[in-house]
Amino acid sequence: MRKEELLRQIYAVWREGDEFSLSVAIIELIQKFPSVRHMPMTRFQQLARENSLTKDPYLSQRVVQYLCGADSPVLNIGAELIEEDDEVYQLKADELRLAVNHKLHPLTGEIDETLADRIFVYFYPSEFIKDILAKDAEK
Amino acid sequence: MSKQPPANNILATAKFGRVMDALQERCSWVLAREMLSSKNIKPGLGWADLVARGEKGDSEGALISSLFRTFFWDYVVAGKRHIQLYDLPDDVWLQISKELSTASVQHSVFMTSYPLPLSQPALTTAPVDQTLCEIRTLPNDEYQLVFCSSRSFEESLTLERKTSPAVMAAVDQAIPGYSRLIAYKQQWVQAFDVISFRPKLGRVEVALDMNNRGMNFDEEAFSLKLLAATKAVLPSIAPIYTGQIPMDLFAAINEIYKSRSSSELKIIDTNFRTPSGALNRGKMPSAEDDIRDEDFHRNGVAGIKKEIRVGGLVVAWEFHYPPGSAKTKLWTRISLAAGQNPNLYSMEVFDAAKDGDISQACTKIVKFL
Repeated sequence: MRKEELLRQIYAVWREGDEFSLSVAIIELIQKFPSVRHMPMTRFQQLARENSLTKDPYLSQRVVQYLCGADSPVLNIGAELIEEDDEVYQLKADELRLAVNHKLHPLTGEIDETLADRIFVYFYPSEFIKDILAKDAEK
Repeated sequence: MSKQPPANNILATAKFGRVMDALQERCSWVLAREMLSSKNIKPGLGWADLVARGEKGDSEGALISSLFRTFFWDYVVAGKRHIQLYDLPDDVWLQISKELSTASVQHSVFMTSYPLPLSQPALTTAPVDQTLCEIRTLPNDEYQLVFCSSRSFEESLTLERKTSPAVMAAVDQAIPGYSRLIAYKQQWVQAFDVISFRPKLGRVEVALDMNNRGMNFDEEAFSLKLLAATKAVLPSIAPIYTGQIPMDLFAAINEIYKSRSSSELKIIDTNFRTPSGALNRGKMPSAEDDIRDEDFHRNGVAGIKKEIRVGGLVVAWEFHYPPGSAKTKLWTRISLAAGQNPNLYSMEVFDAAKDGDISQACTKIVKFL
């Protein structure tokens, strides 16, 4: 798939709404920084402000949810555990599953009822969008 | 390097739950989980689940029980350690090896449960001096002496009106106006300090146990105490005890930083100063990524023409042969690195599952000197 084709696909879903504008801004951000590997939700909210989009707090959530989906899989989801002393631990997929489903702390091996409060998601570009942008750069 | 426990009835016959309680006090779940995964056993839902599975009479239970008893044995001398390195001259080793052939472990209260730790009440009266509990023979003519001692630390508990209204009401009556009460309780843990003789590497390692939470003590003084305790068993160590200072590891910090990142070596945490005098810290949240390959760090270092003064770093090692892994921390105080003669006489090795990992980590660091 080419970048134009992807943008047409996203446009077909959102039309000329702010969702489309934010999707384009996210893709352009990835194009500008192909090595980006950590984008928290606040980065997308900031991006919406930078592009003078609606202040609707759910805008970035809607867009990110869509870009993580099967239709236009631009973003992957990662998660990290941030303890009260600000120690950060990146969760692997199975650790995240056990943490969410069973409240199993990945470092202590004990059930932790408040674990979910310290798990934070972030996003990073998928191989799908990296391939598309690499092809675009070759043009 | 991993080997089966010798005929140690205590570890072999102790209830699996007791072994695992002792291990959980000292070992991170990540290491236990990695060990299980390497044997194609599902890690399951944490320590409690693992104990339940290990206590079952089925084949998986027997395997888990056997694996963790061996793991515990290996872990007694590994985990997280404060390490000082000394040269081991051939002539000194010759004398020490003669003494080792006749040295023996004397009975002490620790031997009633070794290698498992004593109970909390027993630890309150157990010796605080390092007491020889085992002489471990390793391949390559290497020997380890394991010394146990009782170490205390204070655990604090904060009580507030919302969570402890009854206690806080009593506090309010006694000393009105206070909204929080911080209580301290003295806790005891058993330390397993180790001194290793590695004649083929020409090295002695003085490795203090840092595994239990709350362990906070004067490492320099305890390292000297460990050497003194060793001298009581092996008098020939005297030239090392009285005549040497530990190896200065400071130079390794910058040498490691200047080396290339590889599948074996990843710098995951560093503090450094730049020509402007700015203090910086760079840390990766995953042991799979090297901070030197990170865009901001790499471009920043290039921007100052590599004029970077590194004061500390944590390296995640993946050893290829023999396979293993560990992390090392070489860290100096900013004031020390700013002085005339900076030096670093100790390092921390952690996340090491067995002695072989500790030994390889030390060897890697020494190669950078």
